[in-house]
Amino acid sequence: MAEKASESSNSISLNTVDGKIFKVSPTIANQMQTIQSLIKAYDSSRVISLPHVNAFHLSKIIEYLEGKSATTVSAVKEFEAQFMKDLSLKQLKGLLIAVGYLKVNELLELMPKTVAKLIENKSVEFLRKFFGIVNDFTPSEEAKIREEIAWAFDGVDED
Amino acid sequence: MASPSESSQWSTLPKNLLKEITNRLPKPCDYVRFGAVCKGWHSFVHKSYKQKHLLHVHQNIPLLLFPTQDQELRCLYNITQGMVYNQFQFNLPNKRCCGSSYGWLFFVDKMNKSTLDLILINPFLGHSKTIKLPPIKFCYEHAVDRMDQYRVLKVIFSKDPNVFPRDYEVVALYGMFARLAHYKSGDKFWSYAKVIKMEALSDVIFYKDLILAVNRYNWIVNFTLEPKRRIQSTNCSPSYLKRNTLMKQLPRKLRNCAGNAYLVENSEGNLLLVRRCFWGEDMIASKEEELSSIVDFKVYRLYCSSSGKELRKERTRTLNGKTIFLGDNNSISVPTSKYPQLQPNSIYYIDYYYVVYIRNYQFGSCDTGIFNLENGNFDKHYVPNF
Repeated sequence: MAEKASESSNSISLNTVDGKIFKVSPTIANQMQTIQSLIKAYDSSRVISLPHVNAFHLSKIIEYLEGKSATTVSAVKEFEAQFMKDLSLKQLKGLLIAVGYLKVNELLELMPKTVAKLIENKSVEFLRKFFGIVNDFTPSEEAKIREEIAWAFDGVDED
Repeated sequence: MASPSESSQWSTLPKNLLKEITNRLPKPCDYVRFGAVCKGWHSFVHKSYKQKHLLHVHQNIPLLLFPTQDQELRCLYNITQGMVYNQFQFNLPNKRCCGSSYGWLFFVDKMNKSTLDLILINPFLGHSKTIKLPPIKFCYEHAVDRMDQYRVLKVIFSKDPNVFPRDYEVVALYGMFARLAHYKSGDKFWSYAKVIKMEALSDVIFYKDLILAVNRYNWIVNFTLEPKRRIQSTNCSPSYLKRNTLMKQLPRKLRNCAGNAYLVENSEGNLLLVRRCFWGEDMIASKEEELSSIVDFKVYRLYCSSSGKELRKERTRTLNGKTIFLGDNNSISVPTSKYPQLQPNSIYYIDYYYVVYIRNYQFGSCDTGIFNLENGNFDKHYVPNF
């Protein structure tokens, strides 16, 4: 996939933290702002190391950047929906961090929107369970917060 | 970096990502619940709360406060989505809300023969967030006890007191003849303008550094705070409000009298005067007793003279793609480009309080709607369903 798309001579090599080398076209590379600025700073023939991104996340990002170039608006929407659906919650979080680091603008729009949709109308208990977050408030801290924002606790979805 | 198989650590997401996510939570209740999940998310929400709140208040169009089945509770109506937010259940005083500004609501707390107490509530900040201001000195003018809540026509802030707790100002239009009182945070007393009979101001705004007020005869005044020449007692403010007329009033004839008048600052910083007419000229000539529902809105752009001491008005028939919200709230103008669901060049209005008062409408709303300035058509934004 990534390797195939980058046969051209001016492709850019990216080395992930787990030692896998990806060759991508400048069009793809330039959609990752962090890499774009690294290309400018480095000699273009050099392999760019990405110490904060693993191969799985980079391959997903490339898959997205290639896939969203579909011709019609509805095809892009469908692709984006499927792309998000295929990710597990753990993958979503890891990918979100990678996307934040590489500054892939379109995914920085799509992914937080997807996470926000998961949060909307959900109870605090549901969110903790869903995202695997341990409640680290003391009982008195929690009681205080609940009192302050009591108005926000009504009308949530059934868990 | 954590491998994908490692257990989820959503609670430690970097701040920029938390920001991207929470920026996409349009409803404040989702946002504050997000902050109640764990310490990490709480400290993020808490730190950015002021900014977020400010954004919410400045970027969002007004929400209508709605009665619910329960007398004590009220919910919110979002005009852009045409939807009642039932998850907002605010426990508010069961009386008329005399104005809103920067997300704060104003109520007359109590009134006696010579003073009037205002209470300020910000429901978005929880029940603990209320501000009590010193009492307003109040001259007992044929007051009817049960009408306490109509003694204050409108109250507005210069800035959000939650964001600028030491640097906000308040002005209130109060009393039978709608006089102006001014209060600055930290002061012990309100300052007042000298009494003029039948002043009857209908709207006031903070415009740039000015306090501008208008009455129904096009009289526009800038109030400035001046030190009193003689201070008679330590039990009152050392300053008074001086009137500086910027536009003279029209002769007091029925045809010159607007049903109500509003001052609005649009998003480009221009000043607009909106006159709300309850009757047309032909109706004045024929049958005055049938003056009833609203007939027209006229909008004027106001220009300041080079000396800054006069205002000139020019009629306009477009709002340049903006939408205006008028009522007992702080008048608001928003660019429709940001809210495609809104009707451009239109005025969204709610009842003028005095009409409700004299007709004693139990359920409040009797004259709400949308007026399109370009084609003169009226539309509805909400039809009450009791």
